[in-house]
Amino acid sequence: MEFKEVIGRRRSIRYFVPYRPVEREKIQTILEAARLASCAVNATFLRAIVVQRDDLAPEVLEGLKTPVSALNLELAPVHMYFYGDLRTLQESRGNTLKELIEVGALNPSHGWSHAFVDEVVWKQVIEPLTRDPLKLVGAVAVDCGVAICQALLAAFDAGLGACLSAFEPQRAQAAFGVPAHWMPLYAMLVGYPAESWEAGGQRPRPPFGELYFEGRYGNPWRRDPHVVARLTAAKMLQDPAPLPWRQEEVKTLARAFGLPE
Amino acid sequence: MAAADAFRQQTTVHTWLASLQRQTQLAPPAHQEHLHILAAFCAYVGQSPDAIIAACFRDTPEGKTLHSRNRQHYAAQIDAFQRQVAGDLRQQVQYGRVVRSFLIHNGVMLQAGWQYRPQRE
Repeated sequence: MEFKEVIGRRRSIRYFVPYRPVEREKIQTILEAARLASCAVNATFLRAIVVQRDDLAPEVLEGLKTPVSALNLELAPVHMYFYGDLRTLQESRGNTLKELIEVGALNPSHGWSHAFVDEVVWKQVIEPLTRDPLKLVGAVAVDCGVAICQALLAAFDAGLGACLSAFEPQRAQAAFGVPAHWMPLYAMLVGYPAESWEAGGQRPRPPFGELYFEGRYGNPWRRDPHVVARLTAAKMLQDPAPLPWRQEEVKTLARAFGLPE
Repeated sequence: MAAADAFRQQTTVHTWLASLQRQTQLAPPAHQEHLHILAAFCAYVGQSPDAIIAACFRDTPEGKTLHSRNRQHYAAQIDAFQRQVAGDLRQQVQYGRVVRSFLIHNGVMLQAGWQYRPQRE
């Protein structure tokens, strides 16, 4: 699938074929995509525990559910529990930056050196950040979000469906032996969609001009209709929800799974 | 008939049917089956529809919020109600999903899960 179409087809899938397993190579592809994501200081914060739903004891699965995620957790055959490792920066002591210097990604042309990392970046920027929980959590969350997004897109590229879901972090910590310094984020639920890939159409979003500005706040970015047309042709921009048959689809799925309407 | 009309006029029943109609275009004849099932559940727990929904919420200084324990209580009651319905699994599930729909359309979040999940051997 072309990149733009992958973006266009991604939407939260909440009805999975519960009995169809996901191939192991597809799960690995998703994780590989996450590992390559951009991250500040080249510190890879994202961690994941991958679980086959059917390997979970019934009481464990029950314990992981929240009121709004219970059904998703039950229908998806694969759960990826994502965490941000809050010790990554502290443990790296700037070495991940020095690795970037070694491989020619950060260069003297841009002012980078080992001495700068040791004397300035680590001591004045990174180390203080590790002692500021609010800033640390913000930094870790942003970078994990970037990596999770790549994982999501890789899932759709592999013909799967996925959605990010809440879970009970304390139950997960106990069930999976999660270290205390891993910050719980989301479970990415993965499986083959039981709903059509359109899943009712692209979800509503605020108007472009309310989100993005040119030069200064209040000056909306001018959205070029020619670009919109090109992105539509490339299937990045697709028909918005609801598609005319969506309610029928939801009704049919609800009846098939014995769910309320 | 008067009793049935009174039942139907309860605020929560009206809210449910109106919301269902809006969201799923449920045809009015189906309402009768829904009302019959809800009435059976109300008899089972000995509460009126309005009383069931009222019990699932509580007032707090921040406003009305879900009453977790009562919500769980009714979720368990629906499971039990469904199990005691005479008939096959599909009929039992239909009773459960209708009652859950009543609570859901009145703002009570419930997820009972996949009803046809095969039992593990």
